[in-house]
Amino acid sequence: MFKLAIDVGGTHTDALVFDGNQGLLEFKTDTTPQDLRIGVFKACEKIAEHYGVSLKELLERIESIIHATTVSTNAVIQRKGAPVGMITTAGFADVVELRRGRRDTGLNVRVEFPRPLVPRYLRLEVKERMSHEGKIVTALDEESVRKAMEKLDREKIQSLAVAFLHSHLNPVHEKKAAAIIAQEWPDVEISLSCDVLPQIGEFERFSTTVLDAYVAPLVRSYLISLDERLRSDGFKGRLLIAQSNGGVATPEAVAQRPIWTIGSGPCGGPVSALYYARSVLNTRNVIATDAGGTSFDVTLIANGEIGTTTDDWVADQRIAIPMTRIHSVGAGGGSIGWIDSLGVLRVGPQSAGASPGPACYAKGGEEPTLTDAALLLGYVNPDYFLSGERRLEVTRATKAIEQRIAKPLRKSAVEAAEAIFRVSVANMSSAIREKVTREGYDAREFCLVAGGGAGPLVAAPIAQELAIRDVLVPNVASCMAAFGWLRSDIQYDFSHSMMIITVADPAQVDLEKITRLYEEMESDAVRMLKLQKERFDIYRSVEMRYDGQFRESEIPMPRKRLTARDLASVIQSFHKRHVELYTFSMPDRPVELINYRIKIVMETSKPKLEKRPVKTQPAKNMVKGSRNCFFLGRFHKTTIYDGNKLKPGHKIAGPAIVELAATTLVLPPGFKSTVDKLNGFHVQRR
Amino acid sequence: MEKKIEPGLLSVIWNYLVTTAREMSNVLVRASTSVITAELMDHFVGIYDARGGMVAAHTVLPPIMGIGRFQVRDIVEKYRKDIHPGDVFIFNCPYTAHGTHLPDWSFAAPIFFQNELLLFSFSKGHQLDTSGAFPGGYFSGAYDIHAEGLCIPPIKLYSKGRLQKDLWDLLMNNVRFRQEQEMDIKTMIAALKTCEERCLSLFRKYGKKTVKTYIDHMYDVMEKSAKEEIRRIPDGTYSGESAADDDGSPQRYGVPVWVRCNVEVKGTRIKVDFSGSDPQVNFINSPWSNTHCYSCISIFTTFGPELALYHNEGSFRPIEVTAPERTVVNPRYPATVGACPVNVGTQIMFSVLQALGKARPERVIAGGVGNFHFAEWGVDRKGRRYFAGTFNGEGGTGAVCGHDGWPHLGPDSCFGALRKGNVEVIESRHPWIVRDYRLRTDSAGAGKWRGGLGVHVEWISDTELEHAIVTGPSDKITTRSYAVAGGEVQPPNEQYIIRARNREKEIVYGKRGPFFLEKGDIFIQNSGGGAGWGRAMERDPEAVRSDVLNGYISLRSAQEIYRVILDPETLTIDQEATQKLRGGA
Repeated sequence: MFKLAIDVGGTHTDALVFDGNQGLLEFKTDTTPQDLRIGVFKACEKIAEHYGVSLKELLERIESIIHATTVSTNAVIQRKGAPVGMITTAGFADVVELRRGRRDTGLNVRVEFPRPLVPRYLRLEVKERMSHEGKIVTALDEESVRKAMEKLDREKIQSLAVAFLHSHLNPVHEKKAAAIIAQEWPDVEISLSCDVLPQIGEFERFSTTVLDAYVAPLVRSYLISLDERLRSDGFKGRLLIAQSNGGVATPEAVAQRPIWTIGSGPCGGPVSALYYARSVLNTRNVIATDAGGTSFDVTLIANGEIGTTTDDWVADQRIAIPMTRIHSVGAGGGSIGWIDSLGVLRVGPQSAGASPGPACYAKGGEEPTLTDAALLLGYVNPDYFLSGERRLEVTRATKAIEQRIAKPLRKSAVEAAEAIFRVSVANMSSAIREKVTREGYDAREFCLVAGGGAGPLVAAPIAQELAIRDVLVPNVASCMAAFGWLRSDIQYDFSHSMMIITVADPAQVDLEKITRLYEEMESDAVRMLKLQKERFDIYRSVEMRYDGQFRESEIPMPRKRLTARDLASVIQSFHKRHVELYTFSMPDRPVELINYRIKIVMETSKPKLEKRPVKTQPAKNMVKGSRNCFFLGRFHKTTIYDGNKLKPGHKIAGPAIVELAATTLVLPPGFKSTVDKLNGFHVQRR
Repeated sequence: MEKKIEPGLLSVIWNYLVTTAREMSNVLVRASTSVITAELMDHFVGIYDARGGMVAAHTVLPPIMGIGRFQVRDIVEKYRKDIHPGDVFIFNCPYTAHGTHLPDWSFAAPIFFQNELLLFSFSKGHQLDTSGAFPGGYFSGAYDIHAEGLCIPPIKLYSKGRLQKDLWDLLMNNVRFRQEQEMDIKTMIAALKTCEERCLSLFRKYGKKTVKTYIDHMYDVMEKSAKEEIRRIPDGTYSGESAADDDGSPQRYGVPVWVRCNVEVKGTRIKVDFSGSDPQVNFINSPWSNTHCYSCISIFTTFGPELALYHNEGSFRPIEVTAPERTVVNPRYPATVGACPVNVGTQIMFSVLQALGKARPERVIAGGVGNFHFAEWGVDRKGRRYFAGTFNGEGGTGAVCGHDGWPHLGPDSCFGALRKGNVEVIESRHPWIVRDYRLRTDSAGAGKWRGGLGVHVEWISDTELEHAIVTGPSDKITTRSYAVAGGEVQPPNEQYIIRARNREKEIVYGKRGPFFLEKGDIFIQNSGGGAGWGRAMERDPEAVRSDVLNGYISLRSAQEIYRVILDPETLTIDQEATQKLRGGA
């Protein structure tokens, strides 16, 4: 039986097959933006072809497909979601347009205003009001709901966001409004803010709810048609969908909360990076990176924890569900080098993408990219890019770099190429440094795992820049996310705010109320996900802060009837956590309990990479040849290794290039590498 | 003389320094307990050289970045050889430390490498309190600067790494929210430490000589591109003027305070002269460093957007600013300055941009709401005394060529850096019920590109206990903003209190208060939007239709101002009638 992960990226759709006999097999097809399903089935056909079976025969043998799709993310970025309406509390229809009055472009004032996903004339107010304690101040005027809905129906909305003030404390009005609409307008899909994100803070909650409504129809129809097509082609296994929290979910669960898929794309990467680092180096402190064509994603994993954040944006829209804490910057193989008006060389954030692609693709691209630079420097083999699937044209790369960079800087083409390479490395290093320090850590205490097609090109110089000792380049580097999804558990996150509780003395707190909230959250979740007959684990946590602070930290809570002693020990953990994060704590200061969270986890069976015996040996026989590569201002004669033939224990010394199926590992002078027991590369300074 | 500069390394060092400044800001945001620093983002951080030159800044609050140049120079001049590793300086005084208003406390620490003073780290934050007659420092009518609060000259808070305990006790004994402020100062200093660590590792890696050479080169590059931008402004002298409604003194209620400037452009140099501005008054005077910086920042906004993150000492070099002494833009001791940074600061910005709008309109933003916010104190929902500055209720920004203004983004001088509070959080922390918070139809100035809208907010006081507001820096209620290239100016801001006891409407001007509120009193803010850019008649009729559809403008404005005829029912454009009304254009 097979397990299959299909990860749709901006450029490629990666399919990774785990087959009991052969281990992992990787397939890449072009992503088909007009209908992502086409690419998915093309990938399946490619796999079937490899095994010499029909698509039906293949699908029959697959026990599970884990699918990461960008259908929701793209809908937001390209503004191609459903026509959405919104119903909200009288006086507050503009919350999503007021955006808390913030912009972060500083002195650049010539910026277009990001229009809300639901235009103002489709945001209608109804009479109702809750107090800040969740008490009804004005009862819901049901007629005003009907009147609003009649208008929205005339405007042919397909999806509706219902978001009332303080509904996280008392959802009865939202639920009542939804019930009326569901009964009288059964075709409209509804997202309630008290379901999507029952947390304090109307801008974040309303915006997240609108996003959910905006992508819901698309996600639902995508999943239904994908599932139907798979089933009719013989698939009898389980389909699971990737979420932005790094876990996977059943299609039924995702249909309930389509927003869980937004931004899920890169979230599988950190899962595989952590697995890899633990298996090879037995470390749980990892900087997971993924450098693709357009973006460079950084995730900090401290002590084995892949953190999530609720403080994020998708395109220009605020989203506040827990998302894997990935820091993305516009830097990758397709990033374009340019000279700004200061005469300073910059690389990115613009990318040539897959089309037209780097100049060397000869698909009409004329801008010099990082890939073009790597080609000129001799790092990339023009005849063995993606195992030779795409031939690269050196002359076009040279021309682009000469004209756009070398001439204005009065440098030779190869010097200009090195400058592009160096600036890219600096951009990526800055992204890592900022990410790591923002979380209060020191990069030197982490191991760097380099994924993505461009990751292994830049891994060693980045490590040097940041004084990182250990770099791992997994053998699945070019499809890190897909491998991560193969190892992800089913995982659902829920959160809820109550009135803020300030704790000076744990014995004075209404602990029953907290216990009750957790129990209700759990039973609601089980009902919604139809888990009554399933086996699962539940983890509780609470987001807390010092009285007066504005940023919370998440602390685990025991899953039991809460006692004062339990709460005291939770608070102790918070003090400790605060020291870890911010170097100090304030043990005498009261704390505030803000959001209560539960996480439901159902473990999946996880493929393991085969650990192979390590036999220390020189890698002489695996040499493909040599060529001149440019390092540190001059050409060096550089050995080229065939990555597919290297075995655990093989040792390589830089300067060296290892050509792998879908990427290239660059070892500058001063670096060495050993093939690790999972057949990846452990890179260190000599 | 051609220096040996390697372009890759230049980019590396430059970005490293800019990122370092951003990291300093992150430190403040994540650990601060001050609503003003952490939640509203009212703080500034930067790196300066040993002579006070600005190396890199994180533009949280752009207007402050130039002030550090003056302040670091003050330290260097005052202490000279007496600056040591581990020193941390503290200061806020406008007259002895080039401060702005007193709540803005600055901190600076020298960075030494191999026994040489190379850089200063710098942080500045609006403190919860700074002593004075009322909490928070935003009250008009103080007798002199001493009545406004503590005036701290440049002094050492830490000497060679040791906290000056006596000084600390003196300072902390004179503020109202001691615990919070102690925390806040700790985080300001933590930000300095972060900066020092980053800079030291840069020196270790590339050597101090190289880093110094590259910093100098960064200045040169920036100077060159600033000059290139200025060269594109046609030579000439352009004038601008803008007024504050009044200075908040009872004897001068309703008397506008004028800032006037001549901007002289000659080749690659630009000179801003404030001769003709009003004599110094009360409460809103802009100290010299503030005036200088606001002038420069205004000019920077007209530069290419790619320069926005990278400004440094070089950006300031081609600009000369002069202002006669004892004027509202260059006051002398002991004039009060409570509302200065944003108040007359905004008039400085408006007057300079108005002048530049005549020279290079396609690069100049029209005027926005100005300032329209309040500060408050009282007893919070938990029964504790509090002070809070809030920016809710701010109006829109002006339009620029090619883009409409943004709604709710004021004050103008903060460029959207300040974040406004969520009503759910406000209601659960402070004794307010917010009844209505919406965009105001027709509140922006018309134009080919229109201004962003202002908002209407209704605040109901919800406590029997003490609750007071001051309208501190609010303005543009009786004076006007400016438009560019034939656009139109927005309607003025307005605000009033409706008292619960008699339902009477009491108009509230800016720079007034404290107004003590009783339970049920309603405070209503109607902020204006921004002004327009270009002639309203040239606005795309389709955009006008969409504005009417969404209630940004009324049907009537569409017809009378934009000259677009829409069917009142279907909102379809009557092309023929529109063309006729627009003069066949």
